[in-house]
Amino acid sequence: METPPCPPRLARWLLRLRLSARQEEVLDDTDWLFELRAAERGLPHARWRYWRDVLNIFLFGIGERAAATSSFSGFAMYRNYLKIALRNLRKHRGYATINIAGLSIGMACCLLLYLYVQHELSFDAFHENKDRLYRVTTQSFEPDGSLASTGTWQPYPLAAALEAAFPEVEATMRLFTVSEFMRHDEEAFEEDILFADPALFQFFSFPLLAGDAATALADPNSVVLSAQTARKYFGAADPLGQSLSVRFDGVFQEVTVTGVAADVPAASSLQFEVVMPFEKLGQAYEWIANRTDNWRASSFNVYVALQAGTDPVALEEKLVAFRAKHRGDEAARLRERGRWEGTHLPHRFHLQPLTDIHLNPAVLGGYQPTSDPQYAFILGAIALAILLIACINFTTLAIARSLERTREVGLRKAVGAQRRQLMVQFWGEAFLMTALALGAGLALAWLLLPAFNQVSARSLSFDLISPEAFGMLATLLVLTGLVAGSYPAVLLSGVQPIDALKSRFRMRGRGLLTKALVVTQFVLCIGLVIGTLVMVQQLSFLQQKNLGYNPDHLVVLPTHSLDGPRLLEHFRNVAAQTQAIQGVTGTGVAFTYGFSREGWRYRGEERAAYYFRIEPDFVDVMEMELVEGRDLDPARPADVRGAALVNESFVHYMGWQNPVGEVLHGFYEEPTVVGVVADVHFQSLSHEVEPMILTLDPGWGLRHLLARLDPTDVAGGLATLERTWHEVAPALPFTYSFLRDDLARQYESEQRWSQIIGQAGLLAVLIACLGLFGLAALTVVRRTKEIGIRKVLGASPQSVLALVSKEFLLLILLAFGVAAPLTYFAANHWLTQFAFHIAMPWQAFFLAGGGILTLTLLTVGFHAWRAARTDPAKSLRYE
Amino acid sequence: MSDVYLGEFEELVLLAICGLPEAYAVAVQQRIERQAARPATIGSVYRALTRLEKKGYLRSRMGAVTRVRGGKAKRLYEVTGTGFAALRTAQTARDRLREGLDLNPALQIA
Repeated sequence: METPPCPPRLARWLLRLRLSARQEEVLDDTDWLFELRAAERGLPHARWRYWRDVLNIFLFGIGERAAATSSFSGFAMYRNYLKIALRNLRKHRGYATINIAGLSIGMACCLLLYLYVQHELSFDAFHENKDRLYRVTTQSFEPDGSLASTGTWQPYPLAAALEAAFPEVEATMRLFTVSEFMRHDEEAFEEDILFADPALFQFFSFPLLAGDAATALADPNSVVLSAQTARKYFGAADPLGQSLSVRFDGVFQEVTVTGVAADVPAASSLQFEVVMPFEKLGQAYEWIANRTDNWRASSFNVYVALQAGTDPVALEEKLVAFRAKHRGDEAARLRERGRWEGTHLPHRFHLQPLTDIHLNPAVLGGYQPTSDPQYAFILGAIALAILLIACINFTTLAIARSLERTREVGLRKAVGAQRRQLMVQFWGEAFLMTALALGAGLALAWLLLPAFNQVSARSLSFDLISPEAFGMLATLLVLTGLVAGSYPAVLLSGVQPIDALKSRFRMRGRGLLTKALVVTQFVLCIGLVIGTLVMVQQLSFLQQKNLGYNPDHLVVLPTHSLDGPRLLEHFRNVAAQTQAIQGVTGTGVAFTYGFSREGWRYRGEERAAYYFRIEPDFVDVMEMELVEGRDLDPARPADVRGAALVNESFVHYMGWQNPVGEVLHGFYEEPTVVGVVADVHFQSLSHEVEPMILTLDPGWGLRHLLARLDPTDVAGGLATLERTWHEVAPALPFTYSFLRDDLARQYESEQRWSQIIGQAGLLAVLIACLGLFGLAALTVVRRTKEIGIRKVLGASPQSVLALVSKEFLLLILLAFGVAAPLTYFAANHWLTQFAFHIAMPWQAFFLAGGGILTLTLLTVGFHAWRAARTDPAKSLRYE
Repeated sequence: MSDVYLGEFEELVLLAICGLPEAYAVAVQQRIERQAARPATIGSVYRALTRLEKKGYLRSRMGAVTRVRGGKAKRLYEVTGTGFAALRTAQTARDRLREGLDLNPALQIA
């Protein structure tokens, strides 16, 4: 037999809670009605009517007279509280608007922060085995024992050796990425190809939409595409079994599509569009084939899956001997070269948990950009600061209105209200306001999310349907309500009724508290504004700093391992015939695209410098400055291999007095220095200028051509370049970038964060000014009579204006005095992260202080002016 | 006058009780909903019953336990003499007001 349906449990519980007298009777009646209705018109109808009945009884009762022992009186009182609160909201609309607007903006900021942090922390959480997956990194130590750097690069044979030596290593995964052209139907695209061991789709949790996860990468000539890439090449057609050409070392080779992987989630530290078997690397590239059993050359990323229950720290200890076995005594080798005095190991293997990868920017060599948790903290601090400013508004406005409320408190106490009940009332009011603000804040966050996504370069979704999100919302509500309502709840409720009713009451320290709170608000605002100004100035400094060469209108063309010198010659001929291209040159690798650091032995000492292989004209086309000697001259046979240019830092590094004519002993062909160029910033400005060597040595390849365009005809120059490219390399698409844009990209994250912080700072100032506006209004109302008397006695409007504004101006000045040194230290700390940074811009401090002072004057002055202009006859009749 | 005042809904409740052999809250509510075709929440019925009892138009007692409703007791209501008097007063007041009025003007046209 079926059990009879029950009324909704929550509703029934509410009903029980509401009733004290005749509880059983009413419950029986309503149950019976529910049964009747369910039998007659079905369950949904019965439930709906049941809820209606319960809510009706909950709100209006059953008509029993309030008895001293029942909780009816409590409910009546709560209803009264609600009524008073709503009445207050309606009566003081402006005040309520300021509070709710401020709190909702603060809450929206907190919500966005929550979504951001949630996204950052969710990286790689989708992998089924995430707790057992680690990336093998190498930690390098300074001679004094501190950690120098951590890198992901590992030798080719490491993975197999680990699997063979340690039973606790269940599986390994080697990864490597290469950018190559991929062609289908005469249409070629440049793709970042991920080379991975065949078990990729079982090792990680990347699902395959088509193909077999176990065998998709078994054949060296197989390729797995992401769903998006498969669509790009094959449209709606089935990609399985189709063939594609991939260009390895300049030659297109056929491969077959054996699988389609679901698009990789955004919250993954490993992204791929195209996957090929790791084994293929050795067949495709000679330099890799030469490394398959080389333990000294490190290029690959290696991940391991440990057996469940393995202690990674214990395994790391075992890896010390393992490393020594395969790499030899690294300390001894370094000591022999005079580069190691330490007694500890210079390098150790380390196991980095998969879920640590995204938020650890200290590890170099990963395949995806990491995220600096520093910025999440900054964002968090700002969101909380905005919320705090809004809470302070709430408190200061409550203080300003406290005189009015003390009468109510006095009356309530006189008719028997307990202090506890009053606290409930005032906190309740704060919660009501906070709840309204939370609603508005949710809507605001939803509206702002697309803009926030764009600025933060994330793809957050408005996903708040989870237990954690509900917990966060509840915490936000409770904390904000508690903080915002604490002043009236704790202090106002303690008023003695006799004092309150006789208006004899003066809250101790009330003025001081208000002042302290306003100062706190403006310390935060001024700090945010100064911080923003400093960031903006530093960033524009980075973009405008003289780099030692001219990056404007300089186009970088990758040679895609075509014959560089032949390409260059063709472009040179074209450039000679057109005005739009002012010069063309080539280099091993363009600035911002990389560099090669070479070490050699110079007269028994270890030396290292950055090395660039260049073409003649490089110094001219880049507009670098030659400070000593002459440029390299291809007409002199000796210059081709036997001459070098060095930069000033190099001269300084070597300690040379007369660099021209010095010989680079031990450096490849031992070239002679023929000229010195001024220092150029070939790395981002986070780095000092390092020693640099330039030669024409044709033994090194040309990976980039550089063309300087006529600034007045950039479009024409680009068109010429593209046409020329199609003439010489018809099989490959034309790819280029402007060096200026590449430089800007180096500071992308700083740019982004200065924008976020700037906008947050604006919001903070806006909310604080709103609060000040309300506070000034209330202050002026309180002093209406005083102002009237002053005017009767002959005060001018100006002096009244000064009287009202003075109070606030002093507070702002005090806030500035506190904020300036604090911000100075914080901004200085941030600036020192850049090797090249601006001196602390004092103008920013005065600009921020002056700006906020002006805003305050305008805000307060509006009310002060109105008060000063009022006819004293009217103001004295006030009340 | 105030002691004979009878609200419109109160009148419905009183009439419903008159027409019921065993008048308890749920029965009253059901009768009003069915006979008078007027949706009523059980809460409003309770409140009306409480008010009427307070005015002295009703009296209540706990009824005997029956097998229906899991053997639970119900509160049964009865209209008192003043209750009937109030119903009559209300009826008379209405009848007098309605005298000579045509409430179907549309029919006249037809």
